[in-house]
Amino acid sequence: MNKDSFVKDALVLTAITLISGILLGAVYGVTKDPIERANNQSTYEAYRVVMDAADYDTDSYQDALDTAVSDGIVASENGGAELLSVAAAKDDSGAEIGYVVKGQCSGYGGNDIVVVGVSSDLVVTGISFPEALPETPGLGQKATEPEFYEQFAGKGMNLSVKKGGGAGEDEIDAISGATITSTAVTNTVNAATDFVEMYILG
Amino acid sequence: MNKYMERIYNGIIKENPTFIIMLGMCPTLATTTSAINGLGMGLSTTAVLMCSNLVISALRKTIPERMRLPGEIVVVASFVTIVQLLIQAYVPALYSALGIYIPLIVVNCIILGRAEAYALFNEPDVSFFDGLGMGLGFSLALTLIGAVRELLGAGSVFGIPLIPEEYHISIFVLAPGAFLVLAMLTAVQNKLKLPSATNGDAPKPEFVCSGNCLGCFSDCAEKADERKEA
Amino acid sequence: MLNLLTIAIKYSLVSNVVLSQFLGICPFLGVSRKTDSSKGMGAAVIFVIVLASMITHVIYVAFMAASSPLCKALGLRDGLDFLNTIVFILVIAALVQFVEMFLKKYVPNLYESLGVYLPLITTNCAVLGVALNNVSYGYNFIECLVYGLGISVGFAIALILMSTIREDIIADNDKIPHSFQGSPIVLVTASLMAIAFFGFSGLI
Repeated sequence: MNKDSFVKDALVLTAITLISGILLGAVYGVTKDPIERANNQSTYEAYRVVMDAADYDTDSYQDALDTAVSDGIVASENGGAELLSVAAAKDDSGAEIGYVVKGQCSGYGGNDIVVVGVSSDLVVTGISFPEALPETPGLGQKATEPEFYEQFAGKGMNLSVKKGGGAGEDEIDAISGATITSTAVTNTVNAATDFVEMYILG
Repeated sequence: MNKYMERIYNGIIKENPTFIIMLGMCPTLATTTSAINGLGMGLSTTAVLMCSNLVISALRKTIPERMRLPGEIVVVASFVTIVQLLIQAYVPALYSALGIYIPLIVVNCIILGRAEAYALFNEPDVSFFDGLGMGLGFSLALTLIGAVRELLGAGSVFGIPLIPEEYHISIFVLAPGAFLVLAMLTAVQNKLKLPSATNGDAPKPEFVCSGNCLGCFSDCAEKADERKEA
Repeated sequence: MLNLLTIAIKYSLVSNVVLSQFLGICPFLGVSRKTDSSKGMGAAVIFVIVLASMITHVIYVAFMAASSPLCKALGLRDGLDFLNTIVFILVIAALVQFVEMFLKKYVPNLYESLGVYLPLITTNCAVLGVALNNVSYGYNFIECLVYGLGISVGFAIALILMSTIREDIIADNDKIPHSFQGSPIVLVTASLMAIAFFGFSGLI
């Protein structure tokens, strides 16, 4: 093996890699803002669905969220549901009308991200999904149909999943054939209300 | 028919990557849960395939032989990341529907297969159209399979409901349905003696393992067994 | 502990990498003709995926993540996540080469049984899939190890089961309708296996 030609080969490959890297950096720079905007937009749309408010304050309770995440109690008591972000929903006068918590829990095909609206008296005002669920169409994906997600509005804390229909108070009818997804979503909702009770109101 | 149209015809009909050469089975099975997902995956792959064919063909005399594979991988991975960033920025819904299968375009055998089988031996312009043709053939196949699965499993095509819910056969949008639809497809091809990798009549471009993913692994494994026995 | 056990069971059985996530379909269909080769392939995949899962995780934490020493030193607040795909695939390709050379030189016995399958693994999408998922699931080092183990053991289970069924299919080939001989019957078998694996979903 000729040493010179090996160095030359390696240089060519390095050059290709460098050019690619620079090109990627450029594309990343151009798409960074649109990506962030796309993410924010879907998050704010989800916020508005679960709790319509004039303004969402994402800063005030960030510390509470960090504390809750490092404590880990909320996650361990709710099937490993993680809290991702929290915002205080405010009306025109700037008074807090409730809280919007974004969380996720591992479902069947991956993490299900759920946005949960929680009022100051710990009642769920609604839930929505800011991103497509990584779940099976026709089964877990049915979580995005009103029949399932509308069950949560008006419910209280510590909800449980009921198989086979006929859910009572504090119970959620599981999507048939998709208990894992139903449980993941319910865990996330419970984590949200627990978090608001323990770390914001408590 | 000029040489560009010939390439496109070749990719869509004569050497259709899904129906005839049976390349890239992972995305074919995984992303065809609905027609729109199949189309999205197909078009993303097309974009990568055109660009990578063009660049690899243009660089075919520059890239030294020993660095060929790493060089190709760098080029393909760069285009895949570019496509991924663009989809994430401008078509976020598609991004969350396809998820990890977008970066996995890198290891789709169609991409490296066409680079090795075609772009390395031909001029950039025809290679570009070869990528376009193959990509369109792939998109068409994925959209068709997606439409069939969506119709049988969820009763709609492109989200337009056609069949009432009582008649949905959910299994078709689930994992087993993917295998089943592909099984039926290859069985029909066998029955009608259509050219297909499954009945041995596939056009075999001359390069390692014919660029045929299925054939590649069985060929290699058989060669491996032979080497072991020897 | 429970968390790790859940990861292991979930990815080896419930969300089996081949039968429910469709990663690694090519070797699953291609190397399942003989039980012997499927065992070799299964072992090689376990080896490479576990190794790749740990190494890519270390590289991610050291160089790519927003919190990594490199990004902090360079003042990159967003990290280098957009380079994940390109870095991981190169690392995996180099790793496979390196493992092959290492085994050949120092562990010739193991090379005898695994070596021939190693080059096939670079383009196995399950390896890259594991590396990318480690990042998006936010796993730590131990979780990466268990996740890689779960995925690759799941792959080996599916592959070996398939090959034992396929040996019987090949032996009784005449009884299969002509149109279904070859790939179609294998795909039907895969479909039935996927249905059978649904049964595991009650485990977690």
